Amino acid sequence: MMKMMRLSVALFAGLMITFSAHARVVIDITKGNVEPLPIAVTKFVGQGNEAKIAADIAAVVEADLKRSGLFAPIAQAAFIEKISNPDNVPRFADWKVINAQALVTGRVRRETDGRLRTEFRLWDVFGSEQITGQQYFTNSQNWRRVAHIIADAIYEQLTGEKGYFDTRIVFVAESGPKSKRVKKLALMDQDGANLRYLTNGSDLVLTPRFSPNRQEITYMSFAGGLPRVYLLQLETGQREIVGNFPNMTFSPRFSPDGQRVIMSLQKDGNANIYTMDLRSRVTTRLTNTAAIDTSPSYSPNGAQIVFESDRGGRQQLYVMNADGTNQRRISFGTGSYSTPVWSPRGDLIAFTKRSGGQFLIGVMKTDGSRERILTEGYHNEGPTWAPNGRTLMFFRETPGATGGPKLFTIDLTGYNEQPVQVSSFASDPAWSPPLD
Amino acid sequence: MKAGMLTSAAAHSALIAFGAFTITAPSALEVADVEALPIEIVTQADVTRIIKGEKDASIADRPAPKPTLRPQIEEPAQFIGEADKDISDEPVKETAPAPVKSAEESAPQPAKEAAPVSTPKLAAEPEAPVQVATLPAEDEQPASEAEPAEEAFKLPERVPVPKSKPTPPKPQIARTNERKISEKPPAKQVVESKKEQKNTKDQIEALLNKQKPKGGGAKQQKRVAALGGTKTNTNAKLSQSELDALRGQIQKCFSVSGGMADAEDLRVKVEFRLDESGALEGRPTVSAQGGNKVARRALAGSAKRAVLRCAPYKLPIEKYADWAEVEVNFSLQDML
Repeated sequence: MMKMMRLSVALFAGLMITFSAHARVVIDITKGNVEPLPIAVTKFVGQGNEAKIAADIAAVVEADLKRSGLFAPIAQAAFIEKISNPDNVPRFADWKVINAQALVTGRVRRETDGRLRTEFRLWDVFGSEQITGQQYFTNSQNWRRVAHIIADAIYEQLTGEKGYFDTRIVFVAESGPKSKRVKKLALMDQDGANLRYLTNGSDLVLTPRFSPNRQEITYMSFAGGLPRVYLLQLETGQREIVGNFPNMTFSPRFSPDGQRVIMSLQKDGNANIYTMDLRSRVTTRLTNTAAIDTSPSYSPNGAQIVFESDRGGRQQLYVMNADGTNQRRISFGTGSYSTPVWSPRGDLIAFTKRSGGQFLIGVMKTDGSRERILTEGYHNEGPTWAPNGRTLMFFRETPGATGGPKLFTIDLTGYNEQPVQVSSFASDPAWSPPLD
Repeated sequence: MKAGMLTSAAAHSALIAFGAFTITAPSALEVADVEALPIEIVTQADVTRIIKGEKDASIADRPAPKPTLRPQIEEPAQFIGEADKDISDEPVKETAPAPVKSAEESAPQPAKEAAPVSTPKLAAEPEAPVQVATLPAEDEQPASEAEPAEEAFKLPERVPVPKSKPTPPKPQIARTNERKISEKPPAKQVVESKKEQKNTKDQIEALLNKQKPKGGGAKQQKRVAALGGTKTNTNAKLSQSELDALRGQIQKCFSVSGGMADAEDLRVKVEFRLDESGALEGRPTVSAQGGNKVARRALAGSAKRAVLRCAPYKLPIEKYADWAEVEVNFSLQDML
């Protein structure tokens, strides 16, 4: 009898489960809303001397997030709750009212040893829970870096991609009249802060590029009359010529492992691509054409190289294996293509395209398909990827006697074009890898 | 003047008079005497409540046509049950020659040799079945006599066997049934079918009960859910427009960054219960798969926030039973 009872109960339960499963509504959502995420970055709590640094850190975090185009920081004036103790759980209802989807709180304190201790917490307002919380110890001078690191952490948690705020840009700062420009190598944080010059402007410099793993850059300079590729140690200021070639070398770039420099070597009106091992100083020729092959850029895994060549009569993009074999053209659109750069993600190649009297910045897949133009205008050139492969920086030159180049960033999707705040004209930017 | 007036009046009068007698009213449109069409008004919900099948339904069995093709195996047992015909050896003679002939013909021998020589061979062949009939005994089966009797019986009973009459069925009965199972040569069955006649009705029924499922004909078909499409609104009583509205409410709150890396196979499932006001009951359950860890976590967060942020949902209260539980599958498929 008991068995029968149990059996019937089990059957009934099974029936109910089946019934409830049938009543479930199942829907698929395959796209989202690409509007910036509303986020509230509160003033970090700080006492005495640390109050200003605390406010500055919060401001830098907010500016970083806003500039990425993926976040819409909410004005402080709209905040209902005032965070006085970041260790307490915030009143989420107050933040829901102002439609903040994420909330950042933090605190800055001075440790007994004089170091700065910076803490932050990222809250999910609608989920009513903490997403992440971290603390950093550093010298007071490094507060900006701490702010960028916090912004990176928030960016990564909310977008699913690595942040790129704790990075630097090397570029050519230009000053003086258009006919007689002074060009200096310059270095700054990605947000334009901490600008410093690496050369004094006595020699023309072009195409600086960061080493992927050392505080080192390579660039082309006309020092000594002949254009040559140089290496520059950022920390020591030590400078050396790459290779000892009788002719000019130009458009250098590091290999992904930082062990080689790839560049063009000019001879008899033609230019071919060479690599040089930085340790053994052995040079290898990769292309051999009666044309101008230049602007080489490695794929992130180092297996392939994209470059531009006019071997077909017009500048087009070509891809070859790292040993120079299997050279094939990938760009077939109208106009000419130049300055290709392989994305750190490995899936896209950014380029400058000249078409219809304009210079455009675009991206294409590595086989040349799905070309997309991100921005166009009188003169856009020299794209460089942020280390997360999500944002591009390039320079745009304005026409006229007073015109000059300025730096801009743009999202991979073609949205969110933003100027980079630099006090002078600037061209040829190159993004650094994430700082360690 | 007067003459003009008079002429005009006369002319107009004549014209009116002419018109009155000659111009007739247009004929009326003929309306056919048709019965009104019966029109039934159905709601949009009824129309869109289409059974799309279940995504995970098993593949429906197709009718099994093979058994019906089986007759080609052999057809010697046609006279089973008809004692008179069975006793005679004629059918055996008839059936056996065919294969032998063909075998002989295929041999690369000249035609003139085949003609005279092959015929005696054919005559000899018919004896073979008799030997075959004894083979079962060589298989060392105990009760070698009893078993063949049963097997022989199965064949006739396959048809709507007469319950009252123990009379063996008519020729068409035996056909292909069970032969495959018994593997007995036709000749043997013919011989042993004589014994059947002695069996009583009860025995026949008992044998009937033991009989294996029908070998011939199509299988009995069962209604099985068809395989559905990817849109899993199976069993949902909500109309398509109501489902779309719910999708729109959630999607509006689903904030993501376009161009995310490694998002091709990212999938996040959020399950939650709603109360009658459309508000969430408890916390949603979130599970994510695909992509890298960071992307998975970020998309799961976005999906959960979307569900939480857009509650309460506007849904028809009268269909509460149908939307009390909701499962939302998030992906970025259309954003890649």
